[in-house]
Amino acid sequence: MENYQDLPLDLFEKAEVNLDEKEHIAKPSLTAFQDGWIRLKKNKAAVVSLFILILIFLFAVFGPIFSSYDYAKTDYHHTFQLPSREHIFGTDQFGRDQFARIWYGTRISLLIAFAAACLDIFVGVTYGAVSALAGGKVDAVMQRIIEILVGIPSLIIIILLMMVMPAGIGTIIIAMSITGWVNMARLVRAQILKLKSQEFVLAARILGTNSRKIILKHLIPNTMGVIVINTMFTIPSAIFTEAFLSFIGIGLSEPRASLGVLINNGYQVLHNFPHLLIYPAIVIVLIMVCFSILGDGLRDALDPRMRK
Amino acid sequence: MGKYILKRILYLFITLLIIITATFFLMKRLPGTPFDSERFSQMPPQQQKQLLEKYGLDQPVSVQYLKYLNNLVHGDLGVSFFYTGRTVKDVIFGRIWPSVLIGLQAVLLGLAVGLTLGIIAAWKHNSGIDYFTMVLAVLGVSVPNFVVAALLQYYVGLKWGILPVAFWGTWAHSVLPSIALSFGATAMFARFIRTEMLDVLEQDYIITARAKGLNQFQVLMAHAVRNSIIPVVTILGPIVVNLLTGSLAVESIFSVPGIGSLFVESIKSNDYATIMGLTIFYSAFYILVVMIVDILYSVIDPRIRIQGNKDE
Amino acid sequence: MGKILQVENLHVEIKTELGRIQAVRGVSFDLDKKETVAIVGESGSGKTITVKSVMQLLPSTGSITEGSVRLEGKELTTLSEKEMLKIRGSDISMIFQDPMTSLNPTMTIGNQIIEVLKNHRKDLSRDEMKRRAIEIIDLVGISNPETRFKQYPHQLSGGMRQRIIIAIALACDPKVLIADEPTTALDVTIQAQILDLMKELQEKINTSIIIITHNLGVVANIADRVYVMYGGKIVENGSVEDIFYHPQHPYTKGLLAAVPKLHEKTDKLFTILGTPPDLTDPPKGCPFAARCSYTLKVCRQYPPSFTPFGNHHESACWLHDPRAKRMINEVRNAG
Repeated sequence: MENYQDLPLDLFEKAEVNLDEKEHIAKPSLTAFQDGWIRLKKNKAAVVSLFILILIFLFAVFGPIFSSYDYAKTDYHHTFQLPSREHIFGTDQFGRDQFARIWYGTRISLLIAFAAACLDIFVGVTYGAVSALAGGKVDAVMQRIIEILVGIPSLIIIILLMMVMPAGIGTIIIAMSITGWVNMARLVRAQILKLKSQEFVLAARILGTNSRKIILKHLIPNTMGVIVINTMFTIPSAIFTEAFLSFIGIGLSEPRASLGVLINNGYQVLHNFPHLLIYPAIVIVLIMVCFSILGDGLRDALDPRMRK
Repeated sequence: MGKYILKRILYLFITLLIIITATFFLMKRLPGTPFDSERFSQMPPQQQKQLLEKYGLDQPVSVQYLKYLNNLVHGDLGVSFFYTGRTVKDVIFGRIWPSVLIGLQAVLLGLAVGLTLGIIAAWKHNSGIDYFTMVLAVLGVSVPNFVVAALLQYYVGLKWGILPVAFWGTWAHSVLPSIALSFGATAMFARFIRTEMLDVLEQDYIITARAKGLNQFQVLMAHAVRNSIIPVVTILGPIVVNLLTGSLAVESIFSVPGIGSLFVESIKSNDYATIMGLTIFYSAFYILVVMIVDILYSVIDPRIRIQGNKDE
Repeated sequence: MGKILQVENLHVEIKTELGRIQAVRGVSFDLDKKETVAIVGESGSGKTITVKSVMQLLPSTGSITEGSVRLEGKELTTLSEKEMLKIRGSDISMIFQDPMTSLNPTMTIGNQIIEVLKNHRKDLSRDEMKRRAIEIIDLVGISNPETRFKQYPHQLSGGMRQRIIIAIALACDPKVLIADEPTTALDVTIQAQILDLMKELQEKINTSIIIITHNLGVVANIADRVYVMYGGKIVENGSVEDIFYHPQHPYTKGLLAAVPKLHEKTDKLFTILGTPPDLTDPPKGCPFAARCSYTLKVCRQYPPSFTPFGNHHESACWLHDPRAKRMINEVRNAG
């Protein structure tokens, strides 16, 4: 213990007290999204994933432009070329440039996934919101329908639809959306129901805020998180489904390319030319991994219930 | 509880009926006839008519539909268009065992590896094995199973020659397909139990257990694992979906004579009757598993069991 | 010397993302045989961490950096985990705040009691353990002990669960029972029952009790002596009478003033302004300086030491210093 006997006497004067200091609030207030963004930025894996996804996205959009080869142009003098300066990723059995095809395929895969995700959001959010806001009998009937739909193994239905409808990108998007929106609808409904019963919405109601304002100011902003997070999981699942369909031979057909078509193609000649499988496989795995990590990161950042 | 089970069974039948109906009418809309079109068109009209009559295709669609339903009730899925003279039921059951074997092995492998990894990862949170498990979990749900299967086949089968590349025969033939199929399930199990355990380890009753003087291992086995393993039942539904879809690609890649590869073949050969039969078979199986899982869960977990009783 | 537990100069740190929290900063207290001591303070004052370090049940991110904990003269801080296992649940046991979450929901009541016996009473056979468990369920005042033995926690009310938790804690006749806010989560009527039960059982099995609470009513009901904790330090301690009728420290006075009184008509509740200090960067001087109404300059720079007020009553505040009194008088005279 120190010796406090020789402390100067003037220390024993009354200190000045700042009352504001006592009620000082340590943290500045942030909106849910600002708060979420700050949290997300701290998650290095998620930031790296976001960066890689942007990079892949840029390649998918601009890659084919920079390549001097056309994705569908065959060249029977240069088939099965190994990666070289001429053809960075080599060529396939028709002599088509793999670099151009991979980025074109990525573009198609991403296009399908984003379109399917948008349809999911549109149908799912509408259905979920109507169900939750209408309540009563409407809600009950809509919920029974959902309960039956979730019981249906979606991939089987997608396969059937793919067989019936004319082959093409639109068909894949529609087939995937027919079953895909159900999950979104359930999540949105649950979230809105939760919000509806919460004090701040009740308070807004008591204060006489009209329904439109409540929906715009309270319900939509607070449901965005759920929608964004769920979309982060539907996109990779759509990419996987497309690739799967193409792989078993009922997705897109040649000379069109998607990551699934490329992997299927590569698989045919895997024994001799593994690079034709491995490069598109790496791209699809990267996309899926990054979306998965980013989705987890977003969920941790935006969903307060998950915070530890 | 009984009421709940009855309700679930009712839903099961409604869902199945919708699937059967949708499948039936979708199939009817398919372009062309199920027969080899060139040969069929060269037949004299008399013979064409006979053939259509034989499969009941000359009647109105609604009659065909009711007939199909009636047959289904009696366990008759119709006659295969591709495997001439064989019923769809025979075709499916003739090829079901390889799928069952691979599926079961994949589930067991996934359970054993996934749960072990997940439990250790949660226990040693933020350790090397935790990170390894997390990476595996992300890869497991991100790498499409047909890529895993193709790579396993290429490296383990072809390049290193450790296991058979494809086809069916000895047990060794089932190893690679099982591993390829289990990859996703392993990751899902590991990820789920890890999250669940981390949550359980934060619970108050864990510190109560420690305050009793239980050692770490006792706390882990008697309290943490026990409470985190029960909810694993709930992901069996998604796991089954993962295995069913996975089996289509994996069986095709390894040329396993199972129903997964049968489905893909039927699609390619436009064998409508078999496609319909398999669709219904797969759907029924999936719906049944989900229902059993839900009921099982409410029986296992005493917390839920009581709520179920209160509902009555 | 009947001191059963002695804690001296205990320092505990907890690592978090925000930095190292110095949760406990030089806490000393002791406990006599059959005595009940209350540690009082608001949330975040470090009281729970203090008793958890007695049990060595700190979270994996926490550690005792300094100080000693002695049970009947035996140092606990240097014991191995294996030796500590023999003490937990047997010599010292602990009950927790929330009876709803403190029992394992998937294990029967009986098995949760037997679990303690299995670890500490290896001399008992399986049947004897069962008998002992039923006996102790009966002892904590629950009817139909045989039926309860087979039931799961969710089949019991909150008050009954807390009784079961007490039963588990007392199953091996511990020398020290630590109760961390044992009544906070319960209904007011049940609170009194649980406190009465604790007093009754203390008589029966001669145990000493440390009770942690922020409820002064609980303190008045059960405790012999009181330690008031603030900002990771003890600021005042003494007998219940001293603390309630002659409080010395401004924080203790504030706490007492904040208790609403039934016989006084007032439309305002007294509150202590401000929030407890951030213990990742604890104040140099008195932890209460920032919220105190009588803060001196010295309070912000130097930690006060204890001033005795007789009969084991002491308070750590610069206002007790003769120099402070002189200054106050001077100011008063000048004014």
